Amino acid sequence: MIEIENLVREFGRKGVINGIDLRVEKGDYLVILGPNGAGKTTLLKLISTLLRPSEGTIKIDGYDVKEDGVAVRRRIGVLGHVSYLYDELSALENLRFYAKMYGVTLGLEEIKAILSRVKLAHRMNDLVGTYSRGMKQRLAIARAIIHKPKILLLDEPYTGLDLNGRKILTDMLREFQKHGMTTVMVTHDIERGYEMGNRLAVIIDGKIAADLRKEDVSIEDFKNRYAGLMGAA
Amino acid sequence: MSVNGITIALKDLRVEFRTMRMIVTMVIFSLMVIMAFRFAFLFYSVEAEPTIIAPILWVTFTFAGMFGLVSSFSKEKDTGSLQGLMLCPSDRFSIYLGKLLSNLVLLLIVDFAALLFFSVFFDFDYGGNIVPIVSLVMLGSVAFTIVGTLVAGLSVNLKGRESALTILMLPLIILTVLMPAIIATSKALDGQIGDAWGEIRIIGMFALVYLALSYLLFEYVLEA
Repeated sequence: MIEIENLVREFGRKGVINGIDLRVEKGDYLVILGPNGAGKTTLLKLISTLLRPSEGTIKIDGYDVKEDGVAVRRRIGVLGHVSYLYDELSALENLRFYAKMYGVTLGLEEIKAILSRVKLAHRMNDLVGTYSRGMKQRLAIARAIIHKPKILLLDEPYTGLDLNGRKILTDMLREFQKHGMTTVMVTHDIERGYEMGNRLAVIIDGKIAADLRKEDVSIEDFKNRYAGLMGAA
Repeated sequence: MSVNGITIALKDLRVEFRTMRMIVTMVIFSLMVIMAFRFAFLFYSVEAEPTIIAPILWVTFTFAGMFGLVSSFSKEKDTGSLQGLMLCPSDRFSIYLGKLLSNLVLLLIVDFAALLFFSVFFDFDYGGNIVPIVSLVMLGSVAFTIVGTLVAGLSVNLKGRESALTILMLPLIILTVLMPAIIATSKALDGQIGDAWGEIRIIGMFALVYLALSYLLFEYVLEA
């Protein structure tokens, strides 16, 4: 569960997050939309402890991101448009490295099984620098879930993925949903966001401008509301 | 040292020895510096002048070492993998420790290469003083790397980080590490290592002070 209260983040004098209150229940799939510079990625960085809040609190399963950063990081997996992988290491070496960093003991067969899920087992000994953008993103999916996180934070996760990669990611995210994983996804793609999420939030100027359950709004209604909010902003 | 610190250091060294990106540059740079000093002192015998030998060695170690420090965070910052490390469930000080260890290993390799280059180009025999000299080089390098890794972390988010590292670091090490190391090495070359305990204590004390500062600050350094 994610609990955010009166969250403010300033860079210098400029407020990027300007008082967000948000509660994401276990098993929720929250999709966050908004224009460029609205504060979506900053919000994910704050939740994932990459940035510290200027004011307010964020708690993950009761752990405060400021006070208990290690406990928070143990519970989250992050997939962004940057892969966090090392080009000079193979896929196997990358996953072994991150498994050790997360305190997870994985044998070769277990790593192979993870790589098979993202269709990369046949390339596991090749340097990641030789991978295409889509292959790197698929490997990044494996990296993000290697420690079996309870909460998945996704920042434009479909960027750079081809059709096959999109299907792999979508299938995996649906499987995680079935198992009750909590997910927060930032995206510009309204249709994919509506398709994947069970809750939709719009951030404008660092504030929540809309927060809707999927069952309360059709895709067309949501698009119209979103366009209205964009026009008002 | 934390387990994650060792894991990061081993990863860094694996990447470095696979690509030889920095170590070759650092060793060649140290060779160039030694050769430049050789030409500067072409008609001068340094054999009997430990007060000249020690600064040549420490200037070489310092500037070659800075090459390695600049890249210790910057490449990962540019590729985004530094955020990957920051997302791992350990305190940020373990990232510092990992970088400290890998920087130290690279610097010691360069230091030993520079000692060898000096011996060859100046036709100099360290003789019975080699053990105290190597010990001082190791102590000074540990202190240098403790400061350098902190400053490299501080400067990684700055524009012009390469020059920022040099500008920030030199004032921090000149009186606390560099001068005492030069004086102690001069004494060791003169066979008087027993007289160098004052300098050794200064280096050790400041190394501990900077390590404590790193422990307190590093949680905030990478986020800046």
